[in-house]
Amino acid sequence: MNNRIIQTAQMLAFAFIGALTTQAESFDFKDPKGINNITFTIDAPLEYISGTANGISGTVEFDPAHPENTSGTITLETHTLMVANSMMRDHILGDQWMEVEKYPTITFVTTNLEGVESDGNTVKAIATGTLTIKETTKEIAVPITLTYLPGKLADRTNGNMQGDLLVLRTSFSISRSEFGINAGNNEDKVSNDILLKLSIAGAAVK
Amino acid sequence: MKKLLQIASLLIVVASFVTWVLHGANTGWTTTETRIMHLDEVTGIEYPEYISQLTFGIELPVVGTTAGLILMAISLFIRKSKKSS
Repeated sequence: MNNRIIQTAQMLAFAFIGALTTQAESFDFKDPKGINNITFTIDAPLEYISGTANGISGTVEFDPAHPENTSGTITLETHTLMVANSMMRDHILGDQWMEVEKYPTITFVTTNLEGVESDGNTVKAIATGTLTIKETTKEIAVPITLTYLPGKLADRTNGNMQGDLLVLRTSFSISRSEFGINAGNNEDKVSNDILLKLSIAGAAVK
Repeated sequence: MKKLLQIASLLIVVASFVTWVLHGANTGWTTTETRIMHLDEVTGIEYPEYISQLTFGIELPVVGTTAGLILMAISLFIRKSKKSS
């Protein structure tokens, strides 16, 4: 009788501790609907060049109780880069610029967040990590906003799947010359700076 | 022949400008697709959709005017044919 009481008390204690301790969720950013996207903008004399890309995938580990431990990898398939002029797109994807046949992906890997500020389900921080474009990998630190949407996966899948969503947004600039993107050429026609804006949502299925 | 070239040059210039204006007088480059942004209500993410649509840019009136000027210049070198009396 006493053993049974002790065992029951132990089970209740473990359940209580488990409820207090959250665990990181793994969010998958592969999006067959093509909503996840990156926008790039480059200044040029006549008009700025603006395009998008939506071949995004990756995984991010996020614990709403400990957002500073957020880590993960986001990958972009470079062949999905798109501008509103087909000839310009061929140039961007070609040998002088992105060389997509040789370098099919762009990757960002982050291991933690710094300067975390939480406001409800929204977290603002600086994501430090490495960005790899073509054959260059550089350490960068970019401002990032994470919005945790618990239980919202059902809304996105018409109730077919249950789980949580994590929306990541960031905006930062890189230099063509730092990443070997037609470095040092055509700077009178196309700016060296590229503004990138990332808006992506990942799902953690429960 | 002289008059024909002059009329052709004028037509080319006018046609290029009219076509450009009808395409919205786009002062940027010609585009072969148009980007439309949509809003995903669940996540608040704005995402693009591209539709095939040719929109002439500033190159059209520039090329049209250049072609017209070339034809006009050629016409100036052609002597008027004298009608035999």
